[in-house]
Amino acid sequence: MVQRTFSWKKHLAAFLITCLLFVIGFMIGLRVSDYRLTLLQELNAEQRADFESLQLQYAYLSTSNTSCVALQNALENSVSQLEDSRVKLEQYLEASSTPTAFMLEKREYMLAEIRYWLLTGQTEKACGKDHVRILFFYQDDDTCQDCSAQGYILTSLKDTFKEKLLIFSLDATSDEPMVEIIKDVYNVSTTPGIVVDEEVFSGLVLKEDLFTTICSHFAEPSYPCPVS
Amino acid sequence: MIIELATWIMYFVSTYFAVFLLLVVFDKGIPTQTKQSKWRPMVTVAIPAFNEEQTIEATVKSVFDLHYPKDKIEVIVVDDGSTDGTPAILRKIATTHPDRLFRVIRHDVNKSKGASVNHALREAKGEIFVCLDADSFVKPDALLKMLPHFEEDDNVASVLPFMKITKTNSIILKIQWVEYLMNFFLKKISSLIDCIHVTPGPFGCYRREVLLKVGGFDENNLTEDLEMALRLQKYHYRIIQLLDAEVITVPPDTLKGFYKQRNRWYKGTLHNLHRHRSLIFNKNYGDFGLFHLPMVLGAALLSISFAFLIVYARFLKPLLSRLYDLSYINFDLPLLIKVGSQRFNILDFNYTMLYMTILIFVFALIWIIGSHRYSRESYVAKGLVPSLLFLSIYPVILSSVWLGVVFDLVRGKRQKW
Repeated sequence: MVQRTFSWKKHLAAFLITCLLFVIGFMIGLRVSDYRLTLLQELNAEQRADFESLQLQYAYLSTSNTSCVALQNALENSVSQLEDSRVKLEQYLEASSTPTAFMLEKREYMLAEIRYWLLTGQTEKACGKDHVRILFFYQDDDTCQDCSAQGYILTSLKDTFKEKLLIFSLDATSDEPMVEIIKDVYNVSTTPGIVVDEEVFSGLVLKEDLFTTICSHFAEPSYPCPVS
Repeated sequence: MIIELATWIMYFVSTYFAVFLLLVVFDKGIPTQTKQSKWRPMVTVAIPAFNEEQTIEATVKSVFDLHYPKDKIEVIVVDDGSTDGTPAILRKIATTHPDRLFRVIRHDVNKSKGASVNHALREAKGEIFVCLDADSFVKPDALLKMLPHFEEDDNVASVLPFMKITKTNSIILKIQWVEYLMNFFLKKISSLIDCIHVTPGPFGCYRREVLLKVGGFDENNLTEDLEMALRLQKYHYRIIQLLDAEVITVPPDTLKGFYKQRNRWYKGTLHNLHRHRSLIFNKNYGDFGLFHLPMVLGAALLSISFAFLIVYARFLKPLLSRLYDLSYINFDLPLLIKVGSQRFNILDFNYTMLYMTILIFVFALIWIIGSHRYSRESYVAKGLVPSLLFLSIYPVILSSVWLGVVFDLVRGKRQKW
């Protein structure tokens, strides 16, 4: 008869080595998560500085006879950067093992989106309207299957219209009261929800339909909209 | 959340298994010296055959060519109701080799492999009883390398050769070539801690008295070789795996054939594990009961989880979801590449997952290199492409087979041998 033994020393060593390898993996994950948070905070700080600069530019514009072009270019640039950062934030948030810190950062980003949205509204009054503003209400969980598709459509339209289209994305499930207020104002109850200037759409809006809607909101349609 | 957790458990169990086996190798070492002895017992080679006209002659010839005294080796072919040219070929062999101890037992109707082997076992005169599948070919020096292990240790009930594949002219054969090298390397390491749970058909050697004592092979079993190994372990016998004694086998060369074979093997594994469940988590069986058998069950679970987690949840589902999204922008990939590259940051990678994947790949590579080294096969000359195919496609194929097994079991499909 074979004398059976349980190699408990080897099993213990294997368990400890495996744990060590996993701890290294998690440490890498935590470190990367820290770097990501720092990156997002830096981008946010940059956005805040940009916003203050734009506010000043706007205030100066109101008191002098300066051209709006520089302000509008800077504003469009900041909105695009903000959107890129927001996408990154959502991506990092999904992969994060410490979501609380990212959630706080996300709230900051939602506020930034709203601040920029308001500012663009104000500049329209001072400089005239040469762009269309879209508020995009989304959900980043599996319950909104079409939110991702709507995001792709908006990305595609942004590429088509470039600086003429300003997109502000708001997480409809955000705890931020300001998001709730805007949702109430526009009566947005489902996601994806789209507000093109003041026109509200519920559910997925196809690219072609949204293209036509956007074109109809320009005071003077030009390329890529059909010019009659 | 559940998928995340299950993925991590899968990674942890795989890593633990690999680390433990590496520790066994470092501690025990893998013997490379071939044992020798002058012991020449009577040996019976039983070859069950059912419609094997393509290979039976070469199989029998490989036994005749063994480096062993002619009068000490008896060959019994059990023709299990063949309806092709097998009987005629066997008659020809008998007439052309009158100097050999060669017998043919004929079953009028097809019974089973287990029944055929048992019939030969009852008729056998050899102290050592060898089973050889009719589509496998033993190397001339194999028997002489295997017998010393019986002489050295009375607890040894079975000695197993290294099954190799020589033909690798299709993807499925290439993958199996690596699989066999790796599996037999794993079995070699498992045998160092008495943890072998299957004694494969091609040229598995047994002490005849032990086989008779434990009641012979189960005649109605999908994997009678696996059941026999479990029974030998149950009675605390030792099973030795060798890497220097070789037998060449012909595996299925089509995906359908591969699926059918593996489906039977895996169902047999589950059936026999259930039958011998008293061994699982039984501390009287040491590493075999507390580690090896739970890992065999775990591997089944891992394969099914792999199919669901990796293939579906991590690959298929996001891919389908992405395709659904992209359909709304007419699959405008250049746009996505442009936007993706604008937004790309080095921090975007999932480094933890990347680290774990690299870790698993490193273990797999250590395994591949080790198995090639000890099997004396050149993985650079032949194995680089097969190894890559093995690493990339094999887990998916294996998982598919396991899913098929689960599906068959759920719908209550009866399995034929």
